[in-house]
Amino acid sequence: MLYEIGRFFVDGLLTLDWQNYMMFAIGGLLIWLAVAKDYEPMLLLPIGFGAILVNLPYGVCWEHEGVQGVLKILFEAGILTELFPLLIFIAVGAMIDFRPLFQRPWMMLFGAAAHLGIFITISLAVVLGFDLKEAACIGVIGAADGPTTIYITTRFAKHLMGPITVVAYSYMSLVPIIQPPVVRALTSKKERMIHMSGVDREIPRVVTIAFPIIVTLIASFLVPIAAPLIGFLMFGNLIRECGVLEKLSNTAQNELSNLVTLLLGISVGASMQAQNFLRTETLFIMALGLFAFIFNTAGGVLFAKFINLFLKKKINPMIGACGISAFPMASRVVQKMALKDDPTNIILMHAVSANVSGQIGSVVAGGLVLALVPVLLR
Amino acid sequence: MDMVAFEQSLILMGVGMLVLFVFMGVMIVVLQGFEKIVTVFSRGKKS
Repeated sequence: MLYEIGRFFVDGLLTLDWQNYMMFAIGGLLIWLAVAKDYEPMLLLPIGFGAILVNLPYGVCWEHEGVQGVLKILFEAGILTELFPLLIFIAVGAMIDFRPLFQRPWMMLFGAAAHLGIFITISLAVVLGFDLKEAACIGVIGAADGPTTIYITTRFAKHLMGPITVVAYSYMSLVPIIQPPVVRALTSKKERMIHMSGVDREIPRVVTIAFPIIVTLIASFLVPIAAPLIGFLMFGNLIRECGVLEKLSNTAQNELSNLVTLLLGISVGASMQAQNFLRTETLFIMALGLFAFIFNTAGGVLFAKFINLFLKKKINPMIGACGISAFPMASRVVQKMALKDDPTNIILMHAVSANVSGQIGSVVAGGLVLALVPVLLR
Repeated sequence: MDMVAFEQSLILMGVGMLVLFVFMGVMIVVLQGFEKIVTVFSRGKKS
């Protein structure tokens, strides 16, 4: 009897193998990065703890003896149905102020140029042996847009959800480390010291209200499959700009954002089961994700340099690096770099303009990938 | 390497970037046009 009771307490421990312990270590590392290094703590901490929970003995939090665990319920209800990423988009939309972009609409071009890395990475992933759908999910990591990455991975490669999401969010938090060397390598000090002037004018309120509706209509006409993504993003922005839903706007920016981020993080962590995560593919995904980030940054900077060939009044090519979706991190990084070379150089509002266009660009690029890949595979 | 998949990825790159730039171009034109109309309309209203 005592032996049976003793076994009962030890059995759980014996069911674990080195892979589970490895996942505990990875979960611990993510929590450490969140707590000690302050890298995207709102996401990395829940993801790290979710990774630990899902690898506990018997997988009780996922599924045990035919009974669904809480993490599986959350994962299926929030991730596989695409609900959490879309709810996050309402919150993100409510947080974005597009006014700097209205001042300089041409900055929208950077929101396109800085997504070149997605497509280059897709080709590279195919060369490395991933099929086109898997490659598409890996390429989208470069957009620095977590919800879009999850949305596409849910459709194309559920089995890669764990590594892709963790890599996407980890690199997003590393934007201040990844971008500066790329920008420095592609620009001269003289170019980085270019000042950008421009007086901000008042934008009619009707324009700020109509903008989310117009973007939704045009994007959905062009790429119908992107309608949920762009629609929810712009719905959040409409709540913010309409001026009569302040309470809802605040709720979307705070309570909704916090609650869904918490559930999204732990659900993503739940996808990090040892057998799904500890594979060679994960290493490739890490390398390719980094590659996508680097080439997106490079795409934006090189496009700015290309435009400068035709302009009398040159633009600061560092602005191009802000065309990704990491808002407002990319703008801050570029402003900081500008100040380092010239303490009087303020390019923040231009950087923000490119950055918010990157938000729209990443969603449209994601929608294009969603629409085109099945067509190509027919 | 799967050459068919590689070719498909190159087509994806070409079409994807083209449509992305077209979308942004359309947005610039629409946004500027809309703002001009609103400005003219509001001026007319004031006078």
